[in-house]
Amino acid sequence: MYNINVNVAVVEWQTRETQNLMIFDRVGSSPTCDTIFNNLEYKSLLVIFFKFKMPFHFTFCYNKYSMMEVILAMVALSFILLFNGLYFYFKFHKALLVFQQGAYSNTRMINYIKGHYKYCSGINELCLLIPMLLVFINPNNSFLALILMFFFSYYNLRFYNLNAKRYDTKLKLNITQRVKRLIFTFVLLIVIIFGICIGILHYVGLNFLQLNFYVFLYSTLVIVTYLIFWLVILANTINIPCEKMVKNHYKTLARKKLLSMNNLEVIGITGSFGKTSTKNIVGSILQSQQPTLITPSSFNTPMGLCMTVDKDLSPFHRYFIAEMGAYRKGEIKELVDLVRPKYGIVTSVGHQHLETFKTIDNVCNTKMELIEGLPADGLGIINYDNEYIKNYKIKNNVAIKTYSLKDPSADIYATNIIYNEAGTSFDVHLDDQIYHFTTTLLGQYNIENILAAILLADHLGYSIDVIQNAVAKLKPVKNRLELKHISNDTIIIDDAFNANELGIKEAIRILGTYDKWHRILITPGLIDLGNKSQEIHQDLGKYLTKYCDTVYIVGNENQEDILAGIKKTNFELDNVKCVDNFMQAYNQAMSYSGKKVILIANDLPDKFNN
Amino acid sequence: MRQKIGVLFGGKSVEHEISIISALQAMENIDRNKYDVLPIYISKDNKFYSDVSFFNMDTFKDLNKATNPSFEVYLEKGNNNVVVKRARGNVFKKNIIAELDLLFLIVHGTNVEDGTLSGFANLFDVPVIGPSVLSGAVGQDKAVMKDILKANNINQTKYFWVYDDVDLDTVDQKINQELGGYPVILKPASLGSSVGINVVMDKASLADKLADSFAFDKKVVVEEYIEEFREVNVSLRGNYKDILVSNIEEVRKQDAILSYEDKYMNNAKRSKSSGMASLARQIPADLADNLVQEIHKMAKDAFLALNVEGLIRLDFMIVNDIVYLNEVNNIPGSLSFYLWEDDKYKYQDLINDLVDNAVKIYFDKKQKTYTIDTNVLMIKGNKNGK
Repeated sequence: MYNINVNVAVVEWQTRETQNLMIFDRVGSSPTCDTIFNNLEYKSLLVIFFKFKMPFHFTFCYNKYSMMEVILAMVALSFILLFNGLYFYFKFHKALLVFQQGAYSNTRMINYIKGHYKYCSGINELCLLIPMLLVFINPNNSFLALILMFFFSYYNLRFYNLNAKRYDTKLKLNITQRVKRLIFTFVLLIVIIFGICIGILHYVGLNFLQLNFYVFLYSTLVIVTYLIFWLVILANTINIPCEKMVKNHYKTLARKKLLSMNNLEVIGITGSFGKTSTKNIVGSILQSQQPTLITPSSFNTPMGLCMTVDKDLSPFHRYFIAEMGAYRKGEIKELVDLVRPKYGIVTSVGHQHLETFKTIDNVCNTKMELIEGLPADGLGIINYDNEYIKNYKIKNNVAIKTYSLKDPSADIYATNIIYNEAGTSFDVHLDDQIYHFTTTLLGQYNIENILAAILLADHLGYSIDVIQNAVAKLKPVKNRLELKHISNDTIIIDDAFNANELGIKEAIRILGTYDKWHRILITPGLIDLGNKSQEIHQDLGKYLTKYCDTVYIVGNENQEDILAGIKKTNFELDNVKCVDNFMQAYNQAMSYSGKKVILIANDLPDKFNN
Repeated sequence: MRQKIGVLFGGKSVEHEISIISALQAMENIDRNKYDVLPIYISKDNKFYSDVSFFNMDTFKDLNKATNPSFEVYLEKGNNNVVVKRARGNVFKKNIIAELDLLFLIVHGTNVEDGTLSGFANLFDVPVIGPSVLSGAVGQDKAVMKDILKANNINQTKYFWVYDDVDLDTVDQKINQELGGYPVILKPASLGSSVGINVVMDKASLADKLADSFAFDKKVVVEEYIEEFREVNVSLRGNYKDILVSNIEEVRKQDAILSYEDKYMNNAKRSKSSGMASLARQIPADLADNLVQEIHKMAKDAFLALNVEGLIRLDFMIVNDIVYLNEVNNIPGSLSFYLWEDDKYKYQDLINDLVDNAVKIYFDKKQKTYTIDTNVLMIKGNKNGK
C-alpha cells in the first residue's frame, strides 16, 4: 500500500525538511503514512486539494521535488484527462451517429463494428493500461507512467481525428428523443459501472487516499472507452421495452387521427427501389387536383409515418401518400396495419437489404404484404417488368392492375420512348387507347414510375388531359438522376441517392448517351448487398467500361471488385482513378477542361466510407 | 370527423357592430353536419373572447357581457390547426377550448379588414376564409386602390387624393383642374361604409367638410360628385384561375348617398341578423345585356388587379350607360350571400364553397413553397451539403 503524502511534502517541505526527508525515505513502503499524515498539522485548503486531486506519485527514488516538477505533472495530468475526455466524447458521438444511421439496429451496429474494428474498438486504446500496470508494480514508475499516458492518450486522439477526417461525416447526429433516452441509459450504465468498480475497490480495501485506487479507476475508464460501441448496444437493448411503449403510443395516436378522417384515401407505395420517385410523381399529379400529403423524404418507417400523420396531416387532405420501407419480413405489414392504404403500388423487388432479408423471396413476400393488406374495394398496382413480382401469387382478391415498359399484356405499357435534350417523350397504351406524354425526367425507371402513377390517377377518375399536364410539369427529385447544368461545358447528373444495381446501371447507360461529351463517373459502388457484393461489383466494373471515359472509384470497400471487373475488358486503366473520398474525385473531375458530363452515382452513405 | 371553423369577428373598427351582425348571420348558416363552429369575438381593445353564448345576438346588446374576463382566450399555433386556449384557465376547467382547422374572418373596416387580421390568421398556417393580406390592405385604402385600378385601366370617376397637411387652395385648384369643378365628394381613404363621407357643393363649404373627413383619416379621396346614377353591386368569388360572378343587384337610392344609418342601422333594428340583406334592392338588376357583360368584365379585371383570394363585392355606378367602379368590399356585409342565393343555392352552400376555395388556395400556396429549388451548387466546397 502506498500513500500520497508526497503532495503534502511538496507544499511543506521547506518548513519541515526533516519530516519531509523521513517521508521521502518511506515513500513506497510506509505503513505509517496515515499516522504521519495525521500528525502533520496542515489542514489547509491547499493540502486538501492536493490530497484529493493528485492521486499519483511524482517521485522517483529519493530525489526531492521542485515546485516546477509538480506543476509540470499537474499540467500533464490535465492534458491527459482532457485528451481522454475528448476521445470519449468523439467516440460516443460517433457510436450514436452510426447507430442512428443504422436505424438503431443492433445487428447493423455489430456488423459495422466487425467491419471497422480498428476504428471502433482499436486495441491501441488499451495501451493506456500499460502505464497503469507499471504504477501498480512499482509506484516509483509514476513519472514514466505519466509520460506514457500523455503520449498514448494524445496518440489515440490524433489517430481518431485522422480517421474522422478521412471518413468525412456527411450526415449529422440528430438529437431525437430516442437518442436522448439512449444517452440517458448510457450515462446510467457508466455510473453503475463506476459505482460497482468503486464498490469492489472498497471491498478489497483500497480507498481514495491510495494511489492504486486511482490506478484501477483510470483503468476502468480506459476499458469503458474501449467498449463504448458495445455499451451503446447494451444501452439500446435495455431501452427496447421503453422504445416499444413509446412507439405504441405514437401508433395509437396516428391510427386514431387517421380513423377520424373519413374523406381521406391512403396510398401506399413500396418497392426495393423507385418508391421515392413514384411517390413524388403520384404526389405531384394528385397534388395538382386535390390536397395531398406526401411523406417527406425518407420517412418510411412506422415512426416516420406516425410523425407525418401527427404533424402534417390536416383534415382537409384528400390523399395521403405513404412511402413504405422495410428491412425485415413483416415490416410492410406493420405499416399497412398502421395507415390502412386503399391503394398500393409495388414498384420493384431487388437485391436491396439482402443482409437483413437473406433471400430474394423474403424481399418479394415482404413487399407484397402491401397488396395483400389492401381492402376488397381497393386497387393494387404492380410492376409487370419485375420477374419476382410477376411470378408472385397474390393471396387475396383485391383488384390488380399491372404496368410495364414493354409487355403489351400489362394494363398499361409504354412504347416509343425517346430521350432528348429536354427529357423524355413516350406513348402510353391504356385501355386500347394511345396517349402521348412528355416529361423532363430522365431514365427508364422514371417512365415506369410515371406509368404506375397514370394507372392510379386514371383509376381515381382524373382525365388524361389533367394527367398529361401534370406529368409534363414533373420535376426531378433531388439527387436522383437530377440533371444540373453547371456551366456551358459541364453537366452533372446527380444520382447520389441511387443505391441499387439496376438503378446505377441505368444511370451509367444514360451517361453513355452523351457520346459527344467527356463522360466521367464517380462512384463508390453499392452497399448492403450481402454475399452478392463481389459478383455485382465485378459485373458493374465490366458494364461501365462501355459507357464511360473516366471512372473515379471512391473508397476501398468495392475498389478491388470494380477494378477486377474493369480489368476483364480492354478499358484503358489510366482512366480509372481510385480516390479516398468524394470531394477529391469531384474536384479532379471538375478540373477536366472541355465538355464533360459527370455522373455522381451513390456517394451518400457515410457508413459506407467509414 | 367534422372540421372545426373558428369565426373571428368584431375588432377595433367603426364597423364593429356590423361585423357582429354579419358573423352571427354566417354562423347560423354554416353547415353543422360538416363543420363545428367556434365564435371568437375580438373586442374593441383587441382582446379575444369565446363562449357559446356568442351565437346569440342578445349577448352583444351589452358588450360588457361579451367581454367577461372568463371568456377571454388566446390562439396558439398547433400542428395544422389553431389551438384556442382559455386565458384564465383553472384546474377545474379544461384549458384548451378547441383546435380549429380553419379560420373564417368576418370583420369590417380599418384595423381588421385591411389585412391586419388576415396577416395574423396566416401566421397559423391553416386555410383562411377572408381577404389576402394584399387585397385587404389595398382594398381598405381607397387612394391606393383607385391608383391600382387606374393602372389596370378600369373605369372610375375622376378623382385625386390628398394628405391632411394639404392647404385648401391647392385642393380647390385641383378640384377645378382635375375634376372640372364642384360639386365633389370627399371620402376618407381608409374607411369603408359611409362614415366621414361628405358632399361639397362649393368652395365655401370645402374647409368645413374637408376637416370633417380628415377627422377619420390622414388621407382623403376627392371625387367628382355624380348625383344621378344607378348603383349596382356584384359579388365575385374564387381565385385567379377560376372566378365566379354572382347576380347583379340594383340598390334603390334613398338619400343623396347611402348614409351609415341607411345601410345598417335601420335594418338591423328591424330584424335580427339582417344587415345589408334587407336593404331596399332589386335582384337581379334590370340591365341591358351589354351592361351586364361590361360589368362582368370589369369585375373580373378588378378581381385580378386587386389580387383577391376568396370573396369580394364590387359596387358600380352607371351614368348614361357608362359603368364606373366605385367601391370594393373585401369582406362585404352579410358576405353578400343575397347576391348568390337562388332556389337551389343557399347561404349554406356559399359558405361550403368558400371553405373549399380557401382550402384550395391554401394547398396551392403550400405546393409553391414545397417545390422550391435548392441551390444546385451546394455540393461544391460544403462537406455537409447534400
